Formats: sequence, C-alpha cells, structure tokens
Amino acid sequence: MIKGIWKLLCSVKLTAWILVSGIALLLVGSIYVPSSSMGFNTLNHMRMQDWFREWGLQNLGKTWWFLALTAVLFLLGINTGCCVADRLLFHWKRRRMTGMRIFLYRITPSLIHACFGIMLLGHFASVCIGYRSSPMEFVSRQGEAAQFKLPGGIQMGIGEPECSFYPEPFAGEIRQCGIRLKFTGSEGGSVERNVALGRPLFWNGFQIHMSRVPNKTDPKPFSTPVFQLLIKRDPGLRLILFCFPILILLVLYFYIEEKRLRSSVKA
Amino acid sequence: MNLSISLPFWLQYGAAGCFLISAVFWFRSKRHIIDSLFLLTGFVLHSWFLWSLGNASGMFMPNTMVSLEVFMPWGFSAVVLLHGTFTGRKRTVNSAVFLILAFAVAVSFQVRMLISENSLVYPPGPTHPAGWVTAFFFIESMAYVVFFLACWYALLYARGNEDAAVFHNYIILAFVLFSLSQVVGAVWSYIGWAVPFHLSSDRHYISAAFWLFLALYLHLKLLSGWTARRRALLIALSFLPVFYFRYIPYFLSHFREQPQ
Repeated sequence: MIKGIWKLLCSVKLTAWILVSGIALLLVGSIYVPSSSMGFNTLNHMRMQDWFREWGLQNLGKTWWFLALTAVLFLLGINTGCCVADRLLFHWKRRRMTGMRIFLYRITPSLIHACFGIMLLGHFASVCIGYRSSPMEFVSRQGEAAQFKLPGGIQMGIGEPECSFYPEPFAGEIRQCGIRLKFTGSEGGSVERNVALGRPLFWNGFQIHMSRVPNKTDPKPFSTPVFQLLIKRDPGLRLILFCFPILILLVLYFYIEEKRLRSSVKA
Repeated sequence: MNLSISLPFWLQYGAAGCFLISAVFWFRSKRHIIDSLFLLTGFVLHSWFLWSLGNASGMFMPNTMVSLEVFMPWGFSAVVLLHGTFTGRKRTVNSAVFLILAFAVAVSFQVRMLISENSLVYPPGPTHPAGWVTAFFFIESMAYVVFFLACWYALLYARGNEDAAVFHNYIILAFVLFSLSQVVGAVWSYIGWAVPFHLSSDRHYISAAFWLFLALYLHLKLLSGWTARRRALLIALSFLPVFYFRYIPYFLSHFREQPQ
C-alpha cells in the first residue's frame, strides 16, 4: 500500500497531469485577473492568508482558480520532492558501477528538480511568511516630513520627495524621485539612507520600496506626486533568485553532457 | 504625451519584400545561396528599421527596439541565418522564411496601428530602467522566436522531414532562454514593484503557463507512447494557443488604455 502510494507520488505520469492542470489554471487566471485587478493587486503586498481572509474568501467566484492553483502547485512540490528522493537514492546505490561522470550526469535532472522544488518553496515563503506594510501606511508628500514606527521599535523619519525631470522630447516626465530616510534605534543611534523609485533600500533585514500612489488622473508635467513606501521582510526572494540561475546552468550542463556522451558512444 | 514620430517605413517594407523574394527562391532553387542572400538583405534592412525605431523620439531608447513584436522578424532571421551558416540542412533551416515573412507582414500592419494610437514609444521612467527592460524583452523575445521556429520545424518533422528533428534542440534552447528571461524579469519586477512575480498581472500568469508547458514537453519524452513524432505534433499544434495568449490580449490592451 505505502509502496503503491510512493510509486504514484514519484510517477512522471502524475507530473504530466499536474503540469497540464497547472497550465489550465494559470490560463484561466490570466482571464480572471484583469476583470478584478484591484482585488488581486492587494495580493502583491499582503500575505496570502490575510488576502484570503479579507478579500479572497468573500469573492470565491473570482478566486476559486487561485485556490486550486495553490493546491496544484503544492501537489507539484510533493511530486517533485518524492521524485528527487527516489532517483537520488536509486543512482547513489549504483554510483560505483557507473563511475563519477555518469553518476553526475544521471543525478543532474534530480538536482534540477531540487532547484525547482526550492523555488516553489521560495514562492510559498514569499507570499505567506514575513512582514508587509499596508498600502498608504508610510506616505511621503511634498512639504511634509513624517515619523513612523517600524517593527522592533525602530523610528523611521521620512523626508520630502525630491524629483528630477526629463528634458525634451519627454519634458516634464519623471526621471527619478528619491526620499531621505532616517532610522533611529531604541538605543538612540541613528543612520540616514536614501530610497528612490526602482532603487529599493535593503536595511537591517527590511526591504523598503518607493512607489507612486496610484492616481486615476494623469500627473501634471514637472509635478512631484505623492509616494508611499512599501516595507517588507521577504524570506523567499533569495531562494527564488538563487536557485533559478542554478537550474538554468544545470539544464545546459545536462543537455551538453547528453550530446557528448551520445557522440562518444557512437565513436 | 504627444510625440510626433516619423519612421523610414520603406526599410520595414523592403525587409518584408526581401523575405518574400527569399521564399520564392527557396521554392525555385536547389542551391540555397540566393534565398540566404535575400534573407540576409531583409535582416540588414530590418536591423536598420529597428535602429530608427530606437532613435524615433530623438533620445536613443534600446528598449523600444526589442519590446515590441516588430523585433520578431529580426530575431527569426538572425537565428535562421546563424543556424544556416553552421548546418548542411540549409533547405530545412531556410524553409522558416515563410514564418518570417508572415510575421514581417503582420508587424508592418501592427506598427502602423500602434503609431496611429500614439502607443509606439513610451517615455522612459525610473521603474522602466533601459538596461533591465532591454535585457528582459530581448531574451524573452528570443525565447519566443526560438519556440516558434521549433513549432515550424516540428510541423515539418511531423510531416516526415527527418532533418527537422532539430525542433527538439530548439525547444531546449527556448526553455533555457525563457527561464533566463524570467530571472531578469523577476529582478526588474522586484526593483520596480517590490514583487518578483506580479500576482495581479495576466501577463505573468501566461508566462508561468508557457514555462510549465515547456517543462511538460521535456517530461513527455519519459512517458511511453509519446514518440518524437507525437511530441512534434503537440509542439506544432501549440503554436496557435501560445501565439494567442502571448500576443493578442497584450496587443489589444494598447487600444484599451492610453499610455501614461
């Protein structure tokens, strides 16, 4: 019974069906999302469980596919984990018979899948764990300086936004805007840092992003708009950005090595 | 923003004309030097047009050259010419000129429509840094180019052309390029919007679906019953849904929203 379940969880046929379901749900999602973009937009800056509690569960007609997608990706994670463990164990037992080079070539798909599994974990961590500030919690306007409190008893002073603009042919369009931030710890010491559009600040475990407050009307040329700071602690990000390039390199290695081995067999 | 743009459209139409002549010579000639030469001429003219597009606003913006579908004929012809240089299967490789011609004609209309809607050139901005935007769209567009070429060769293979078995290598290259584009895109999305995967953007879901589809193809090889011929048929048939989901809603959105 347990052997049968393990065999099912390791099967490539199951992988194929999960992938087909995932593709179908993602395409369904791509149709649902634009029709309720405001509801889904809040998901970008909230933990998934909070988003479900506040919006997702009340709008199940619009979010059912997202729940299903989460379940499918979770199942894909389990399937990937089981496959990796099964194949690694299989090849490890035969490593003396095959030699190191063949052994490395044969375990490469498992390593690729391990990277993918870690990236999936990273995505789950990114949307479920950590700290997110609320929209409009930390606001910066021209002519106003403000003080806010961050988790851990840190005081954050936010200065006025300062913008530079493009000359012709895009006269009046924002080239860059920045804000000076002053952090004061509970023991009294303080540090000053800059944050700018598209240049987030990484400080003391926090990731601080500056963004424009969404406005329905087009901003006037050469005007400094209102900005908000999005502050987060995202433990999943590093896992995703670290494992994806490794996955790509491993895929390249695997197919190049496959060609080399095939041509040496032919020779 | 009202930006008056004048482009040397004769270069774009000239390139399409060269692709057409190349297609005619592909049919008529047994040696494939002349169709390769016309393909090369089309590539040069199209490169020149893209360069003009990058400078259309009076400020050089490389992202404008690669972020629109008008880049596709350039990518197609570059890959086909490069592959054709190193292979003895020139007839099969150069047959993709029909695909290039179809894209070149379609994007000629599209550029005219976008310019009439003032949607061709967007102002630069701090959340659209030229380096990240150019890198992302270049790699992503090349991934789609390689994938569509794979679809073409898969169609030939499914119809019995053994030389077109190369479609499998094209899919692997598309997978690698598309994965790389997603890493670059995740970094750009993170620095611009604080998230590596924008959960409110339909485009990101479509990209994830496409990545999973490529992964699905790579897994099918391990399943009994999925012969190379059957996989080729799947890839050839996937051309239409991939093309539709990647380009059509995105293209139509240009006409729903005015550029900010």
